[in-house]
Amino acid sequence: MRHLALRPDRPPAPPRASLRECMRARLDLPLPCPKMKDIKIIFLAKGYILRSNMQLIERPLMSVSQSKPYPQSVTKEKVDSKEAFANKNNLEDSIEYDVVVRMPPKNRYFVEIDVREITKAKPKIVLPDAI
Amino acid sequence: MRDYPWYDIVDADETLMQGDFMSSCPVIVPSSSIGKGRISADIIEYDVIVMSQSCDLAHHKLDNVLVSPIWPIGEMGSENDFFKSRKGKESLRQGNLSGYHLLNRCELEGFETDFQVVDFRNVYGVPLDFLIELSKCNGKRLRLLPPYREHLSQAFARFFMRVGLPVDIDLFK
Repeated sequence: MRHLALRPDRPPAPPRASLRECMRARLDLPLPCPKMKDIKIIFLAKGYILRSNMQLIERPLMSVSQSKPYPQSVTKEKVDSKEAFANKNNLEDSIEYDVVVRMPPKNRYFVEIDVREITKAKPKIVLPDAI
Repeated sequence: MRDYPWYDIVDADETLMQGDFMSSCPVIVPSSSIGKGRISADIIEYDVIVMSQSCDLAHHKLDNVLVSPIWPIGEMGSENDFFKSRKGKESLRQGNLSGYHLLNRCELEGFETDFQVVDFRNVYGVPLDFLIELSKCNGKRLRLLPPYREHLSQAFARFFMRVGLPVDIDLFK
């Protein structure tokens, strides 16, 4: 405000335009615009996909500058929610699950075994190699 | 960047190593009562991967080789829907399913496999001499290569060293 006060000849900042007005102005659409609703839906759902035709949509992904004639805040909010959705998905993936599956063996058959001898096991000592 | 293949095919008479695949490895399950004479037993066969350390195998420092059963991911999915889901497969890939470890597809000729799951919960000890003979009978075999072999070994260690606390600390709210 102090800066503005030193330069009284500076023209006042343009009023903030609505989303509809921004889109219309950018695309140079007549009023009323029948497809505006559809475009807005796409815009809200997938904002930045339309960047080749509407650079305006991409701009709010960065910080909003008040010096721009058409500041947008709706897109950022949508992108944030999309990121939040992605983060939620990643978080679910990183959860450790305790799932146990009892798999049947590849093959199973019955045999009869002749036991020749039953002995008590003896320890088998393996000494570490010399360093 | 260098290629890091997952698998190699080795000859039947090559020394047994950690990460070697063995198909139809039999395991004897005796009846509850064992005495001298004739007893009944079940033989169950698994496709397995060798878990024991290669140096122990090479120097015959053990009598029994630790092996883990392996399953194609499709078969696991047919037993449990969790392994069919994207979430389940992704958890498996990220190593968040304790007790299981995912191995990559193999596209080597004659040894083509889908993704395979190693089951750490049902390991078996198979006599080393028997396993060597079995590997010679089976012919050429598939071998998991480093660093994927060490990754498998580490996953088993992580599974085995888990500690369950009888009284855990309450969740922070």
